[in-house]
Parts: sequence; structure tokens; C-alpha cells
Amino acid sequence: MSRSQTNHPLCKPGEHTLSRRQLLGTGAAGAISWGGLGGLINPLVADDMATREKQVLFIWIDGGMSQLESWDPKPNTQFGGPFRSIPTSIPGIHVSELMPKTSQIMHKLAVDRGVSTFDNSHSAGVPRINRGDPKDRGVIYPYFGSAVANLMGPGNSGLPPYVWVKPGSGGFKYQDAGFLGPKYGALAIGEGEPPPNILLPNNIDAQQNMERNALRTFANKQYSESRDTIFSDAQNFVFDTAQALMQRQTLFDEPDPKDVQRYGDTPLGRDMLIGRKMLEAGVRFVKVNSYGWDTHGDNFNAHASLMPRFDQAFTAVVEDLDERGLLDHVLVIAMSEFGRTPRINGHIGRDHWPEAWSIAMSGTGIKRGAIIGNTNDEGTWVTSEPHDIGHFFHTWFNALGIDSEHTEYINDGQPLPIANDDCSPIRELLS
Amino acid sequence: MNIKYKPIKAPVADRQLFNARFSHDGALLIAGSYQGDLRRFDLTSEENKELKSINGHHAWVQAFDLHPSNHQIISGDSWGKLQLHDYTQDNPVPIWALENAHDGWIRSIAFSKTGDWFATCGLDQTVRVFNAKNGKEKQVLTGHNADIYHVLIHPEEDQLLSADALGNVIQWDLKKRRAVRSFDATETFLSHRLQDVGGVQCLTFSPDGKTLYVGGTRPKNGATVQGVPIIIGFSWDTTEQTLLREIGGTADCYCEDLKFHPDGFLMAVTSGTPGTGKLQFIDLQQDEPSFLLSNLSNCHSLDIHPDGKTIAVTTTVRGSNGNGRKVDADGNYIGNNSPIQILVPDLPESAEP
Repeated sequence: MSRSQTNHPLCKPGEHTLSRRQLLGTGAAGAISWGGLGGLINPLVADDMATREKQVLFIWIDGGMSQLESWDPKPNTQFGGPFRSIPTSIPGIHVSELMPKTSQIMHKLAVDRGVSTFDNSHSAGVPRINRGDPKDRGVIYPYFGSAVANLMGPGNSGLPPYVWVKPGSGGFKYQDAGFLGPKYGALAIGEGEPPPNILLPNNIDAQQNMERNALRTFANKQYSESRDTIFSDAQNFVFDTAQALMQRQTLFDEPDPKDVQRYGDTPLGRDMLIGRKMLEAGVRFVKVNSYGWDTHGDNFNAHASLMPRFDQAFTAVVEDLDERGLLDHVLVIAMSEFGRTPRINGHIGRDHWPEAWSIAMSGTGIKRGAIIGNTNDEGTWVTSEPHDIGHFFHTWFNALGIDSEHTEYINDGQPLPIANDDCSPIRELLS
Repeated sequence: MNIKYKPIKAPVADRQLFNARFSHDGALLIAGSYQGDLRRFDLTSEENKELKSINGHHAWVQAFDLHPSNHQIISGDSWGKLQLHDYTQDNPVPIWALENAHDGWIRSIAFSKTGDWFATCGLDQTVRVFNAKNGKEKQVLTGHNADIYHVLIHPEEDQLLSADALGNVIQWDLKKRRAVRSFDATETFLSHRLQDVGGVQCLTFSPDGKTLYVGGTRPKNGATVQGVPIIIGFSWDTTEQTLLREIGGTADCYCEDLKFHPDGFLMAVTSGTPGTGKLQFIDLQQDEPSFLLSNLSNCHSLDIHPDGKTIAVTTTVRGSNGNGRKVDADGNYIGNNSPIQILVPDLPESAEP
């Protein structure tokens, strides 16, 4: 039973309107629960969810994409850099010339150019942004992926609810889950490879495997008798995840060369393609990472090679989701931990700039073609209503059908808002 | 060789500058800016007075060259525009201008030995040759598979070279309009994650034209690029590599410019992170630099005055990097600029005239 889903006497049913917490009920969804809605959902909503499983593609551009070389160009200004801006499929809206493909699908996207956050260091900015900058309530809040995994569950796919496709190492990354407990962490697919040792060795037959599992279950039981169950829950979760993936090896098949060509023969192209497959297979939340965007030096040559590769992979996945009818059900988010300074430093780089940057979105619940928020002529400050990450968490939860202002986590009896309660959804972004 | 140099003055524009070149008579210092113009400083004035800029460009002016025998300057911007001016005019007006000469960023320009034609290169992966009198395009050369950073003319033979972001240097046959041969400087390149890192940062020939020198870095990583600055020498006759010289540590990063001093030694400037910048004189027969000035910040170009002594190095403001907001007393966001360090030989008093 998930600690986050225990009913709490202080939280009365009438207090919330169609809150997920109410819908989650009081019980566990199973001995080794995936968590989430399980079989306890309100039947009316269950019907709705059965036909409209909502999912998330969260594209994390690690290090800080320059807003001036992407979504919010300021050509021919002091800080504008060398690149031109180009028109998009939305009349009057321009993006950097480094995004020619994205410019043609702009009408399918929403972009907020008025993002203003607080932390200008990676160490503080990355977790704060990913946790939605909640108020300090003495707990570590979950990353958005863990939050969605908990609040919405795995759906019907039989696959883990939170998959992280990334360069580098894979494995189970429990740290994202915060107080929700390790089982809401991310299953990381590193370098496009399935988790190691996932296949049954050839020299073990079914009988031997059953006996092996019996021993494992016995050992787990002994282990958990003297410890907090969250650890054994997590271990069981990882095992079940591996079992589920063993049945879905095709997810890791060599990609179609035509897809590789469309997405780009790059780490991001590869991972975005795997991300699309995971979404097609029904994974609730897929995070795709791109590293190497912290361009303190040589920012413009860097973006000249980084941006076209992002442009290609991003456009391909949005187009594919749209063509498959998935964009109506998948919330797509592309963002970094902050933008980059308007000032160009001596190493021809841009440093960290949380004061005025941009976030792009598409898909379910998002108003297509909504380009909102403004910065001044030189791109130094937000001139419209500034939006912090808390506003976006509210917006994204609402886009997924979760009433962010009335839904709470329950952590050991402590009710906790799922998004910063000083913030609210950005209505202009919601369809 | 036992020359030391000292900085004497630093012309500063209100915007950042890429590179600075002395005019043929040494009276002017001209630099391309991040603001879409060419800045001119009168070196005959007491305060290196800044003259009216040469305008008309849209964005960064990284590429320009001076006509070998008259007062014309050809310049190209990062939106692909070329212009020809007389740089001695009080209010320079273009002799001709050509929009979209390249599809985007023009990185480098080089006049031919006669000045009748010039070559350009850029982000669109093409080398182009233009008639200098009227700006008419004569040739478009393709063969690079990356952003082309530099064009260079051989000092004796009017042969055209181009060098790209992957570390490939190509020699072109302009009569047959094709590549003749190439020089492998791919040691200056690294594919790191999504990023193409490094490439050829500068090119020069030995005065006798027998050796081609390539400057760059041996990249260690992308994003905040780190790497060891290197100079690679190639035999002009055989294209064989004849020299590989490290001229700094990992923090020194890029060898940004190379020039030969009239006394026969090589001068190099480097730019690293954060704020590292050095000028050094290199006797290729010696292991250590004969002169090293390490208190400059992010050096991006160097040039030598027609007097054969004075040097100009484009630098930046120390401490100009940093995260978050930097505002002045009135709350205005602070930009950056690029002091041009003027250096002269540091002679003992008894040796000065």
C-alpha cells in the first residue's frame, strides 16, 4: 500500500471536487501495486480514462537551452546573437532560424515566453524546477514524472508508469520520487539499451525460474518483516518492472532506418524514437533527456549544432504523435532548468538566466497555437505576467485532468498540495 | 629572440568586438562588432578616438578583409550580407552591398593577392568567390560537410583554402571549380553528445608559404568547452603534418588567432573558460614560448601594425561571465564589451629612443 494513498481523517470527502485523492480510495491496488487509480476509480471517470488514457512526454534539455537561440529570438539587438529569426506557421510569430522544422508545426504547439524562475544554479535549479517549486513543508516533493505515476498510475499497459530514456547509465532511479517512496521512481533506459540482465538465462528453465522466484519471495518477506515496507515494495516493483519489460522486448528492437533518418541519427533522435515507442506501448510518463546544453563557452557554435538536432527530433515526435492520433492524449513538454543570459560573456558563451525564458508544450489539454508571455526588446526581462514553475505544474496537472487546486497527496497523514498553492493554472495555455 | 611586450592603451567600444586589424598606413584600427557594424579607432589621436562606424549590416560582423592595395574593406555579417566600403571616408557609404550573399552567417573573407576577387565562407557550408568591383558572384564551391570557419589565400600562389568545424581543410582549384586536396586537422574536432565541438579556429601560412599552420583546441567536452589549445603544422608540398604543438592547458581552450611576427616567430592568442586569455610568442625551435602574457582575458584576435612592432589583441572584460542578473546602479542590465589591447615592445629605458 502506498503511503501517499492512505486515506486521512482530516481530509473529508466533501472538501474536494473530483479530486484524484478521493478517487484513489483507501486500499492498495494489489499486493505489488503499481499505485494510481487501479480498480478503485469512480466508474464514470473509469469509463472516461479507459478511452482516453492520458500520457506525458517530458523532454528535459539539461543545462539550459538558450531562449534567444530558440523560442524567443531578438535579432539585431545587443544581445540577439548572430542568428536570424524566421516566420512560423502562426502569422506574426517568429522563432530562431535554427528551428526550421519546428517553425512549421508552431500551430500545434503552445509556448510561454514569460517564464521567470528563481534558481540560477544547476544544483538548486534542477530539483526545484522538477519538483514544481513547492512550499517547504518538511518533505521532499516528487519530480513531475513521479507525481504523475502516483496520481494517475500505470494505466492498462502493464508497463512501468515512469520511464526515463537517457544517454548514459540506465537502472532504477528512485530519487525522483521524494516522499512518495522509491517505487514511484523512474525506470531509466540508458543508451537505448534495455536494462541489463533482463532476459532469462538460457540455462534456466521455467521450473527452475519458478523455484527461484519462490526463494526470492521468501527472502523478501523475511527482509520486510523487520523494515519499512516501502523498501520491499520498491524491490518488488523493480522486479515486476523487469518482468513486464521481458514481455516487451520489441520495444528495444532496432529502429526502422526511415525513422532514424526522420528523427536524426543522434542520441536525442534515438531516445525520442524510443520515447515514442514507449508512449505507443502505453507508458504513462516518458521523460527523454538531452545533455550538453550548458553553453557558458562557445554558445553560438554550440547552438548551431545542438538546435537543428533538437529541432529534427522534436518535430518528428510531435508529428508522429499527431499522425497516430496520440497528440490528443499525450501532454508534450520541452524545457530546461533555466534559460541563458542575454549578456554574451568573454568566452562567447551565455550563462544561467532564470529571469526570462521559455517553455514549449503541445498535446492533450493544451491550447494549440497559444504563444503567450512577452519579454522586452532585448530579452532581458519578462514584461507580461511572469510565470513560475508552480504555475506550470498546475497547468500540466489540469491538462491531464487533475484538479490541481483541490487534489492533495497524503503523506503519513499529512495532506500536501500537489502544486505550489500560491500559484494557479495558466488558463491561456489550456484548451 | 628576446622581446617582451607591454600593453599601453586599450580602445574600447560600447559593444563587443570580434577582431581588430590595422589599416595599411597604421592610422586606423578597425574591428567587426556584435552590433552589426565595423568600428574604427583613430590611432593618431591622443585617446584613440572612435570614428563614425561603418553601418548597414544586420547582425554580427565577424568577417572582413582589407583590399591589398587600396582603402577598401569588404565585410560580411551573420545574416549573409556583404558590403564594400572605403574605410577612410568620414561617413562611409557602401560602394556596393549584396543581401543574402550566403544563406546566413558569413564567417570569413579573404581578398585575393590582386584584390580583384575575394572568397567567403559560412554556415551554409559553401565557399563563394565574388568579383570585388561589383560584388557579382563568380563561383560557389561545395564539398565541406559542416559550417566553414575560414578562408585563406596562399601568400605566393593565390591558392584558396577553406577550413571547417570538423577540422577539414580543403584546397580548391578555382579553374576547375573543385577540391584539389585536403589537410587533416580533425584533431581539433570532437563530437560530444549532440554537439560538434571545436574545428579550425584560425589558419595562417609561414611567410615563405611552405608551411600551413592551423590553430584550434583538442576538445575535451562540449557545452562549456574545455580543451588544450593546439597548433598543427602541415607541409604545403606534401600535406603531411609536420608539427603538433600544445600551447596551454585544458582551461586555455581555443587557439583563436595566429600570425607571424616580422622577426620570424609565431604569435598566438588563446581564449578559455572562465575568462582565461593569453598572448604568446612561439619560436618553433624551442619547447617553451619566448614570451607569455597571461593576464589578458579571452583573447579573440591579434594583428601586427605596419611598423612591425605594435600589436593589437582583442580581449574582453575580466569578470564578464557569471550567472544571474548583473545590473548597474540604476537597475539597467549590464552588457559586455571588448577592450582592444595595444601592446608595444617593453624596452629598457636606455634602449628607448
